[in-house]
Amino acid sequence: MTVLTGLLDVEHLTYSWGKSSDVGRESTLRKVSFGLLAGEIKAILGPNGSGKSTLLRLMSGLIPLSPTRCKGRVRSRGRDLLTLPSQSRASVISYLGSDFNSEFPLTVETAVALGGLFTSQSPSGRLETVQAALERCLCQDLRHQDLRSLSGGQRQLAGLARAMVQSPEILLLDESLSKMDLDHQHRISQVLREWVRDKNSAVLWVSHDLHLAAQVADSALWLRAGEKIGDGRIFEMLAPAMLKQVYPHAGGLN
Amino acid sequence: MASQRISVKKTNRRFFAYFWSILILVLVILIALRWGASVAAWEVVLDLRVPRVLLALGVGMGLAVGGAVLQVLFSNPLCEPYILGISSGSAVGVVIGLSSGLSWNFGGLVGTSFLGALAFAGVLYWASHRIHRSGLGKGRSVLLLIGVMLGFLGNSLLALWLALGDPTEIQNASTWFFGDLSRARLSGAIIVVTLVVVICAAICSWSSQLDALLLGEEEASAIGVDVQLMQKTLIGLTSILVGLCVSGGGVIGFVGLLVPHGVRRWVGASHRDLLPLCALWGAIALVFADWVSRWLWRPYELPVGVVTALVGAPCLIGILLRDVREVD
Repeated sequence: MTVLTGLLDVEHLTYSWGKSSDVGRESTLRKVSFGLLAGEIKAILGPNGSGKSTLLRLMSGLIPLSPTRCKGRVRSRGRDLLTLPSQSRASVISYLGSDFNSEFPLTVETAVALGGLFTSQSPSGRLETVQAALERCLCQDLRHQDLRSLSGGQRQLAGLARAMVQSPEILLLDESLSKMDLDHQHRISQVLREWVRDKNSAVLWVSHDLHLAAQVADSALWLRAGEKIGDGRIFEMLAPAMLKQVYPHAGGLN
Repeated sequence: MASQRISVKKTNRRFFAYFWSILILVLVILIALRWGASVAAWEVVLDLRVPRVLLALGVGMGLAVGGAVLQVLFSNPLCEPYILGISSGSAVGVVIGLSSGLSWNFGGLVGTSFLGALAFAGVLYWASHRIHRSGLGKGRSVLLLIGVMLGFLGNSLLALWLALGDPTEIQNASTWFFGDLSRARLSGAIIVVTLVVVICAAICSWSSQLDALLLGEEEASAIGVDVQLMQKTLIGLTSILVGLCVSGGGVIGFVGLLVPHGVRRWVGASHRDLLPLCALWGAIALVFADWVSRWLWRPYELPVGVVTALVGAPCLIGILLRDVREVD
């Protein structure tokens, strides 16, 4: 079966440690392959140290590439994302971590606008995009506040607005909703759904929150010790047998 | 409509920020030219004060812009060439230049001074990457401490050179270590100002990328900045700035810390205005400090670095205490 609207194609992505003396927080990945469709939200699930963040960081260029450590391909509509120059890559794919913050005095509005630094928009158009993103991410009221004075959850809202201003085709979220309260998590998951539908884009979303994953995602990918152990519709992936396999000690889940 | 009004307001504010800064700079320059240790005969003004004020202007610009850039590069508002030991590295470069036969002439020492600054800045860059990759939460203070240690190392090397050196050079060197603009010659001062302005302009062309870096390396990279290329280029340019400043005026601290700090509070963190205003206020600060250093105990002179440290060190303690309060 051919996929008509495939947006992302990851083939045999492998990342291994170099010399043992290297200090790093990257885990290993072993020949991970999967695809992502336009309009899809895919959760990446797995225990700590299973390689979820490494996968996202590798795809978004945050881990410096070296041919001895990294093998495989990440392609989107014919482009090889791993070798694309930073600026062109940023128009296709963007990464958002769990802490959106600054060491310097920066208002939420300015910080969010930085997402549009390299987009080809007129200044007035950019201003409108920023306003729209602030509204969409429920941080219109925070826009004149200093980023540093906000709570972790509020900063995550601002971070998401930054990512939306950048308007990438694929958004990588690494625990980016983890500090929001239940109400905001729920509302933002709706916002993500709408955004993916409107822009015909896709989201890869690392999370430990299985309930939220069940609400937000269409599909899920399980990783354990750097290997893919499952990839499919979200409800199949959250079936008791699967959970028991990944989390053998968490009896309550099953 | 509303957004138009806001942008007009912003344009006005920017205009006034530059207008006042230039006006104050002109005033400070006039004061520094007019009053000094002796009665201002025209020859004194022309031969001594003009080169000196010009040199102070260039060095102040360079240190302030260098400080502003280092703060963002290392994601730490407490960084500056002096505190990070880069100025000491540059001074070691000068001393090595002197020992290998270059005399106290500015032109010959800029190169070795730059290499000294680059070596120390390179160590810091490497250290910051190690800290970043290991994900240490205390990265901020670790980097500062490494900088302070580099400063100690540089100063020890200087002390060693003083102990072994030739007495006439020691006389020259000891004032220069605390910052000394009295050796200014017109030709040297003109070269410093010109090169500092050119390099500051080159740094300004990275304003957008520096803005993105305000959110940290990962965010900047996600937004589309080639972070490594930018860091390497800017560390190179900043090292040239520090090399110029140290070979021109010796080791002068705190201008690179306090000026960016104050200007950022005034006009915000966006580099399009921050960098040019830092250049203006760096010039104002150092021309003024140099005038204070020769006017306060006239006819004697204090090294200008002593004046900046007397003001700067307590201010730094104040900033640190405020940060602690904010975290609480």
